[in-house]
Amino acid sequence: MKLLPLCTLLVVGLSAVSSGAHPATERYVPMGYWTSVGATNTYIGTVNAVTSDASALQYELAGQQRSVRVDERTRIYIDRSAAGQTNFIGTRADLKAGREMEIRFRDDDPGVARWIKLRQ
Amino acid sequence: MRRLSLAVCILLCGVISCQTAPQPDPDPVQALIDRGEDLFFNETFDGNGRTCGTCHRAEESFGLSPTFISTLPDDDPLFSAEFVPELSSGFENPVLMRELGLIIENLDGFDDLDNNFVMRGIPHTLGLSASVDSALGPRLGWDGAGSPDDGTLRSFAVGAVIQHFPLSTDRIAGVDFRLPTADELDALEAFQLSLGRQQDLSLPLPLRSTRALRGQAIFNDLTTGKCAACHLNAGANANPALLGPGVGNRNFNTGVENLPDQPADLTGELVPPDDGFGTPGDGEFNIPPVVEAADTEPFFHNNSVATLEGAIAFYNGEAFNNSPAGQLIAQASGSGINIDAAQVDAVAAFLRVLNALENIRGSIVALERVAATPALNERIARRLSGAHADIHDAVRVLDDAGLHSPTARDLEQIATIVSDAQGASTARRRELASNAIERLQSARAEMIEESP
Repeated sequence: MKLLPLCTLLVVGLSAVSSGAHPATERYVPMGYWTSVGATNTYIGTVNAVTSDASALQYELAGQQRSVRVDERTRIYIDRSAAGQTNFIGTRADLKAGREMEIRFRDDDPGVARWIKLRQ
Repeated sequence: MRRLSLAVCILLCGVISCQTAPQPDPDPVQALIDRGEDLFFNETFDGNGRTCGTCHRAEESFGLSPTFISTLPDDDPLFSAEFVPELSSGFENPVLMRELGLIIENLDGFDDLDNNFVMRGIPHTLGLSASVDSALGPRLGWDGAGSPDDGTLRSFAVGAVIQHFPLSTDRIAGVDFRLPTADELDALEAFQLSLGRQQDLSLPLPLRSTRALRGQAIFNDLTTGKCAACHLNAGANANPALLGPGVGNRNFNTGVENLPDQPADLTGELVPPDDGFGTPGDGEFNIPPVVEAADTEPFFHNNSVATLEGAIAFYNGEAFNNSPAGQLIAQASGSGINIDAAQVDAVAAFLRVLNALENIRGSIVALERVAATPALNERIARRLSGAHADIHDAVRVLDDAGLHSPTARDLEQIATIVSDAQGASTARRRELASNAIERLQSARAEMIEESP
C-alpha cells in the first residue's frame, strides 16, 4: 500500500537529476589531448567560418562543410601549451575563421559544442 | 658484433623454445589488468610523487583512513603539500588531512585556491563494476561527477592527475605532470573494474547470526529501515521497483552537509560548504555501496561520522529527515526513518557480517592467484598483504560488535598463515595459500548457510 506513492514521489522528485562530469580540470588539458586518447565526440581542424553573432561555426569534415552551435554553456579555451602554459578562458569573440581548433561535441546533442579549444 | 650476439640469442631462444612445451597465450584481459595495477601503484605521471595507490591503498580496502594516515612517514607523497614548496599553499590542508583524512577538491575551478574548494574523504574503489552505471550516465566520486570529459571511469585518471599529482599549483601539463596515454587509461580502467565485487549480491542471504538476520530484514523493509530503497542488495544502485528499470546508481541530497558538530568544522579550519553535484551544485551526492562500508570508515563525503552505527543512526536524525531525500521518504511512507538503537545495531550487525564475508571472498580470490603463481613478484606480494589486511578487517568488524567470535578467532589464525606465506619459499608459499583458502571457506560456512 505504501510502496506505490513512494515510487511516484521518488520518480517525480528525482527526475530533474542530470548526468555530468567534472569540468574544472579541462582548463589544464591541452588541445588535442582527448582526441589523442580516443575520445569519440571530438574534431580537430580549422574554423572555416563563424556566424556574425558567433552562435555557430563551420568546419570541414571529409570534404563536407559541417556546422556546430555555440551556446551559453559552451566553454571556450585558448590553448597555450606551445608556450608551456595552461589554457586561457576564452570568449565567443575569440572564434575566428582560420584558427586551429578542437571541438568536443555534447554527448546528448552532437550539434552543440561542449567546449572549443583554440590554438593561441 | 652486436648483430652477431643478437643472432646467437635468437638462435638460442629458438632452440630452447623447441625443447620446451609451448607456453599458453597470456590472457590479454589479465595482462591489461596487471598493467593497470602496475600503473595504479607505481606511476607518478612525472608529478609530485603521488600515485593512485597513495590514496587508494590496497591494505586499506583501496581507501584511506585517518588511523592509517597516522602510521605514514612524513615523507610519504600523501603529505607532499608539507615538503614541496610549490604545493605549500592551496593544495592540501595538512591539519584536516592528518586529523580527519580529508583532501582538497577544486570542483568549481582553480582560480581561488585559498577559498574555493571542498574537503572530502577518500572513497574506496571496490565494486566499481557494480556501481558506476546509472540511467543518467556514469557516476563516479562522492558527487557522481568525479570524472572529467565524458564522466567515465576511463577518463577519471585525467582529472585525478591534474587535481592531485602536480608538482606545483600552476598545473601545467608537460611541466607539472604528464597526462595519461590512451593505453594507460585503458589499463587503469581495467584494473579498477577488477577490484572487489564484480556483481551485486542477491538479498536476502541465509546468514547464521540472528542479529545480522534481523538487521537484514530491517534493511530490506521499505516501511522500517527503508535502506534498500537506495541500497538495493546493499549495493550502490537504487531499487528499480521504485525508480524504474535500469535506474542504477543515483544521486540524493540526504542532508549530510547540515549535520551539526561536524568534526571538520570543530577544528576551526576553513571548510567551505560542499554543494555536491554540478556547478553550482544541487546538494546531491552519489549513493555508495554498503557491502564495503564496515571496514571503510569514516563515513559520508566529508568523513563526518566515524562509526558504522553512527552512520546508520544518521538516518534517524533531523539532518536526514529534513533533507529533500528524507522528505520524499516521509511524504511517501507517512514517516521519516526512525529505528531504535537495537535496530540500528542489528542493521550494523548485518552490514558487518556482509563486510566480513566480502573480505573472505576477496581474500580467497587473491590467495587463489598466489597459489597458482610460481613467481613472487610485486603483484603477488600485494595480494598476500592485501589478503592479510582483509582478513584482519574481517576480524575487526566482527569483534567490534561481538559477532561470530569463534569464527573471528579462526580468522586470526588464518591471518597468521597468510603472514607466514609472505616470507616463505615458493613451494611453501603456495601450500600455505592453499591451506588458508580451505580455512577461509570453512570460516565462511560458519557465517552463512551454503547453497545446496
